[in-house]
Amino acid sequence: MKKNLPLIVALALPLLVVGIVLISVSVPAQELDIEHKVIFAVNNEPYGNYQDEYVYIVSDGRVERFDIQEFNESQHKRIRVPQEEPKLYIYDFETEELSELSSEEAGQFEIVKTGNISPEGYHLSYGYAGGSAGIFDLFGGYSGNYGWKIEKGNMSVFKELPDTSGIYWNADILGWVR
Amino acid sequence: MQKEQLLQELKQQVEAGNISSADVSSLFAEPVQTETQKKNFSVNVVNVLYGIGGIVILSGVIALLAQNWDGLNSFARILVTLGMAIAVYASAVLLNYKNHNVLSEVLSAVSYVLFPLGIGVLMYEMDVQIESLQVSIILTALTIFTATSFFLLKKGVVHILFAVIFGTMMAYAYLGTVYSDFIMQSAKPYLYLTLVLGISHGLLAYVFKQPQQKHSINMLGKLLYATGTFGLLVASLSLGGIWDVLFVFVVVGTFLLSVYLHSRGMLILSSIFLIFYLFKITAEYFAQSVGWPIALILIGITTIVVAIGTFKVNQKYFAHAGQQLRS
Repeated sequence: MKKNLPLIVALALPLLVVGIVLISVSVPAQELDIEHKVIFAVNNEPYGNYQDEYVYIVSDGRVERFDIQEFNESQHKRIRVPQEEPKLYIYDFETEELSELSSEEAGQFEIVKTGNISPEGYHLSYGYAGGSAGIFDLFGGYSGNYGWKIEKGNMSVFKELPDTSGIYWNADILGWVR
Repeated sequence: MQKEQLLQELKQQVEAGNISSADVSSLFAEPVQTETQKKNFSVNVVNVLYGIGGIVILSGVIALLAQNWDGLNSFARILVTLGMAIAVYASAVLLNYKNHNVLSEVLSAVSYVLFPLGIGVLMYEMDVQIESLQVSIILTALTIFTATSFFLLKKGVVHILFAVIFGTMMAYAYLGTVYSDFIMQSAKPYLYLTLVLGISHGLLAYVFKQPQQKHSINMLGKLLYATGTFGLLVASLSLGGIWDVLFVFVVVGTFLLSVYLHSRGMLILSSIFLIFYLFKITAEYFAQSVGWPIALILIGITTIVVAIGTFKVNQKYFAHAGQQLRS
């Protein structure tokens, strides 16, 4: 046993690091306590030189469709013919369900808070998480997915979205609802 | 009379254990050694040719695939890669049992390069999406396979070398599986794993560099001391924060270990990384206050001091050890 100790330690140490990372990623995810749902829009680009015909905004605690064509015409700005219409989604952190909303459906919710920080104090950002084997992808395969990076204090977890077929990099968080 | 006295004195010294009979024999072993050296040289030439042959086989397979990929059907693609890997490995096993050990090891190395390629082609042709977990599992299987071959095929160094390579890749692959790196925007888990793998390589080197091990395994031990030191130092230098302070202890530790373990590679790498560290610390903390020209002069002086120190340590411990080995 003593003779093989360096060998055992050599094999155990990398496994220990992977185990610690696994625990540090999965335990906070289980302890995540976000009661509010988030409403966000994709292809929602209210700024820049090339703009869509309309965008979704939050006004008086409700999600509203804002037609910017008239606004831009008065400002002499170019209007981009949108490749894809802005879409609205709602995500429930407890059930991990993602649903698309129409503007009418979205308008029925009362936005209790706007911005990237949830009423519970979690900071939310949307992005891509690569599930690759790092630099050792042997055959070019990877399994990345879009989702939420959720941070609070020292905690940082990634919540993958169930279906991101219609969602791209530019999820615009409109607000939080009950 | 004088001859008898000399022989008697020699006998007494041998009996007292001051010198061994092997020492006495070695005094007159010069002509025999030369013959052995000649034989070793011709054996080494053959081994080099085996190695070149192995590289040529690999190049041929890769060229065949690259040039004819579109023209080959699925079965042919799998046959050229995985089929070839299995056939070459089978030849290696047969040659091992026929005591053609070096040729067996060369063919094993060829098969170990072909196996990942072959498995990848097989999965591609079967339309199986290769994700990080699958890569981890394949690497685990390859690690176990090569490590088992080490014990089954007369402990050839190639098997354990590939076991270490696949094992190291496997650790990164598993980390990639459990940790989504891009959105977390932190390379720290990978750096900590590199640091720990550095220690692991060092421990494996310690196991391999034992007197009872074969010469080739000892050489692998030397290589692993170097890779281990590199991993440990590159990770602890890159981590930053508290590691900017801890690095001093790490590098002092590797300097001391290099002397204790008689590892020249560890000594040289420690010196190089100490110089990098001085650059880094000066750039981060002192360049603004004292200005770059003064900082560069200080770095230059300390680099020379480190180089002289390394040279002295090398001369005192390693040159001496070399002389002892030769005498």
